[in-house]
Amino acid sequence: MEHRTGVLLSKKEREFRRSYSDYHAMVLNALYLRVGNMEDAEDICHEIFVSYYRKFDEVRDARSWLFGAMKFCISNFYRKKAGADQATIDINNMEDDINLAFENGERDLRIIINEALEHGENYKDEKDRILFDLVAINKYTYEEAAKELGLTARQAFYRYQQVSRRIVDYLNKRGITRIEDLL
Amino acid sequence: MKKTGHEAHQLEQLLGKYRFTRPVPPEVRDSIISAKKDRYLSVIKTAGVFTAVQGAFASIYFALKKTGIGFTIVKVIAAGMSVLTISIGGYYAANALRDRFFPGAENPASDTSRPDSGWVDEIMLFDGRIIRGAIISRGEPYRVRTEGGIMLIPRKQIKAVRPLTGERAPAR
Repeated sequence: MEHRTGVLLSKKEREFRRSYSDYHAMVLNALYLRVGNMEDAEDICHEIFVSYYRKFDEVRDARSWLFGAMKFCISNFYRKKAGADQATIDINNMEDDINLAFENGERDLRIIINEALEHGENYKDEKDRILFDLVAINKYTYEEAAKELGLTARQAFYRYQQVSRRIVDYLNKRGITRIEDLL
Repeated sequence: MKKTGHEAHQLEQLLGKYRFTRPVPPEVRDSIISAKKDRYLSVIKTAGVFTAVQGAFASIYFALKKTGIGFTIVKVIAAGMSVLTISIGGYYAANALRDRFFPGAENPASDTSRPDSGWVDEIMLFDGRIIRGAIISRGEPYRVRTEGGIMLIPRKQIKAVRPLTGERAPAR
């Protein structure tokens, strides 16, 4: 029997709930964008989080684990759906395909921008990172992102501006000093 | 609130141009946000750890999260309760210490008596009686220390109070 703190929830349950609350939208967005409909996305999301709960004590990096599980589940989903061979579907190559759409210098720029987005020091904490993903990548409003993350819209706005500034500073250091020249 | 700073706006344009953005339609975003708690409960049910307590806590947790200010309020209430607890504890501790080291002393803030002033009042009642003594408190009722002990006199029975000088107040 799990150790419970008092008569309420165990530490695992509380931490899982917090983690679920933070990552839920990010995972579901990514799934929706890959499978194209909400019902399938919800089913896969459910499956991922149930596995996440069962493995919760072993998971060190929630983001990596969830995205790894997501790739695996999406591969399975397409394989079952189309009866396709595993080798024909490789989610890992999706990003590379986008990179291939750009040539030479443009491709290098994209790689640098991607590094800026992945650079951990540009985010004060994981919540910053999720907030940036929701607003900049998935185009959530500040109010929507704030609801997801338990912030006020003002806090979300302020945090988002700070992250943007750090990413722009990072790009400056990497030689991208005038973003407007690239637009 | 969709007023974005200059740097953030340029960065968004850059991300758009280099195909980093993956917009989610508004109706999907609504669905994702609104059904969050239900999906969570479904997950813990499948995981086999759902209990009524879990359900109740989840409802409160997700409701507070949506407000954004919920946790702040909870923290303020918790801080207020801590301060109140410490204050009440401090009050009782101070009283206990006072009783221990100054057993005869009373709390001056809670007692308006003038035990050692020698002040005596003459209280005339509507029924004609006159009572002499030291008024300890002028609340409802008046508390008056007289020769015979402490009297409680309803305020509405008092016609007039006249201070007398030169007389000793009744002993305690």
